[in-house]
Amino acid sequence: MIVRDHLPLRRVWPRVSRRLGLLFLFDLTIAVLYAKSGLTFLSLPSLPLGLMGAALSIFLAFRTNSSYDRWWEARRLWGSLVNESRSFTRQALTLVDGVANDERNDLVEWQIAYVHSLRCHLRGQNPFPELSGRLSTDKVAALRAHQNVPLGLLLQAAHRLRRLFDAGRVDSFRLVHLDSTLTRLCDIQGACERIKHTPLPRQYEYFPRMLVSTYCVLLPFGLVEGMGLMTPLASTLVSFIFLSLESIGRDIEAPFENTVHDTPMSQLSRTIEINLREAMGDSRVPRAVGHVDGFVY
Amino acid sequence: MTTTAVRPFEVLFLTNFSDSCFRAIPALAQLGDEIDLRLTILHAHGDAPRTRVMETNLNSFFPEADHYNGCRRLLVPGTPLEAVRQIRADGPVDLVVAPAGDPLSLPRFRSSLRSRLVREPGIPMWTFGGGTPVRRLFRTTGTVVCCVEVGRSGRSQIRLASEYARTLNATLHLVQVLPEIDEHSLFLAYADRCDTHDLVAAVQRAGAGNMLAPRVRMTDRRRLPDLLRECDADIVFLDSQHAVERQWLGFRMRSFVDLLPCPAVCVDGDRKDVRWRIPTNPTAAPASRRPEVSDWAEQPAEEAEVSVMLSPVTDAG
Repeated sequence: MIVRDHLPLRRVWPRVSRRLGLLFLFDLTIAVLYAKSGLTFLSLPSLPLGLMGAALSIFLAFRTNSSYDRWWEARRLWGSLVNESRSFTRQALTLVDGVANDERNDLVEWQIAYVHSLRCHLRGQNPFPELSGRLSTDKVAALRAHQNVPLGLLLQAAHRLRRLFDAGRVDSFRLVHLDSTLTRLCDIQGACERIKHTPLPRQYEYFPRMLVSTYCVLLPFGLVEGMGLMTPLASTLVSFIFLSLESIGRDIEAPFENTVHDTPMSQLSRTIEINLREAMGDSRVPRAVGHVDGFVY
Repeated sequence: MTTTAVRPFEVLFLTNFSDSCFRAIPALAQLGDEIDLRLTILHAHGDAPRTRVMETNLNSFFPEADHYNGCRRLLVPGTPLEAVRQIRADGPVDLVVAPAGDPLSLPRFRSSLRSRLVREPGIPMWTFGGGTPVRRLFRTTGTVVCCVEVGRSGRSQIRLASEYARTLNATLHLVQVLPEIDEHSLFLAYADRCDTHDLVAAVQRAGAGNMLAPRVRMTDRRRLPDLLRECDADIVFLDSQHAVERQWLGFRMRSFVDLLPCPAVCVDGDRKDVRWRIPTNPTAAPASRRPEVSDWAEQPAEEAEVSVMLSPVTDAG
């Protein structure tokens, strides 16, 4: 997630330089041919281009809105994950009877491990080097049997709750509440996986890209009669606007792809861990994750 | 009988917090699960004074590494090359991780950092460029490719690739790379010089004979990315002399390195003292033997099959 107010040129330039450079040269060629070589047939009426631009703007706006909806839903889901993690911790620490804290703390440790493993799961990253530093060897070994490691952790937490119920440390009413929190966590995970594995229909990717490219190529023909040798500047500027709109939609439609446009899962999972460890009274509270050069991951 | 414990594999991750550095994180996570490594994340801040912002950047980069075994973060003054020399003076460094910089689409006026790191003697460098698909960085290592340039005597990359493949129980492909040619007669001369028996013997001496794929392949540099796709390579070992070229503004990594479809480890092939002893991660899942790997040790070396893939020969002039 980008948190800085402006993007440095060294980040923007590589993404746009090639396409804009080619367009500028093309526009310059058209303008010179029209103005200096007298090839007046290169001029096109501007009305069709105006209509095309208007229709394209609506299409791009719809696509950008759809992409933003996905990005925002992902952020909302992780916000819910923060809330449910805190709720589960509070329930585990207060609703489980008995003097010894080990079972209660184990549930909270499972929850911390779950959040981090969900982050790795959504990014497609191997979670085990990190889990090996958080959980015991036998627990990590048991988790290797699961392709969906977060789901394995939820299952282990549910087993632990069942054992607590059998031992009389949790009554049935509290068990229902604790289990319903696990169910909501599972729902959040499922919704994140839905966003991850179901991209926007490819038609929303292919047609805008093709139409924007076509429009950028036709634009100098419509402007050259009125603007002459200034055509390259105006045409390139308008092309930049449309290319940026198309690029924004593509960048934010996939919020779990380990890019600068992602939901800031590293920061959120660290925040959850900090909150949960403080609730446990654990002294090993890690430092918060800040932005790196204006980007939060 | 006493046994000497193998120290963790020391990996030095150079970061300037670019997008490429963030893209390298999943590959390091995967490597951290396959072998017992100790990760050092290093940022060199040049001549500027050390600030809280730099410390925050470094601590916020790859935050999950705090839970990796023995991970440390270092903020060091000076250039990255000076920082690497300093770290190396303090202790062993087995591998330097240096992804390609973010493309600037502008000419550079001095030698690239990676080319300078590669020329620093004795430090194998792991890198990748824009040609590597992101999904490749998340995969377990199943196929290791080792490239040997025809006409060069240095073969240290064979030793390291063999150790790497043997440790990860991966298939090892050997590729002989012809330098740029444009006369068919030169190909005939080089073909006579290719000695696959020496290469196979080197792999067997390194103990990875049973990892070796049955074919030794041959290609030229332009077709190397295609061959790696055909092999489904997860990592490729190159001679650093093969990977760096001198241009009029300084040294650069050759363009084909960034077009490779997998990460590359650049090794100084002439250095005989570069050796790896890679400890496996004791908590890792046991890797299964690849069913298509034939047991090379049972085949005599004379039966080695050589397949050739070449670009079309261009007419000179």
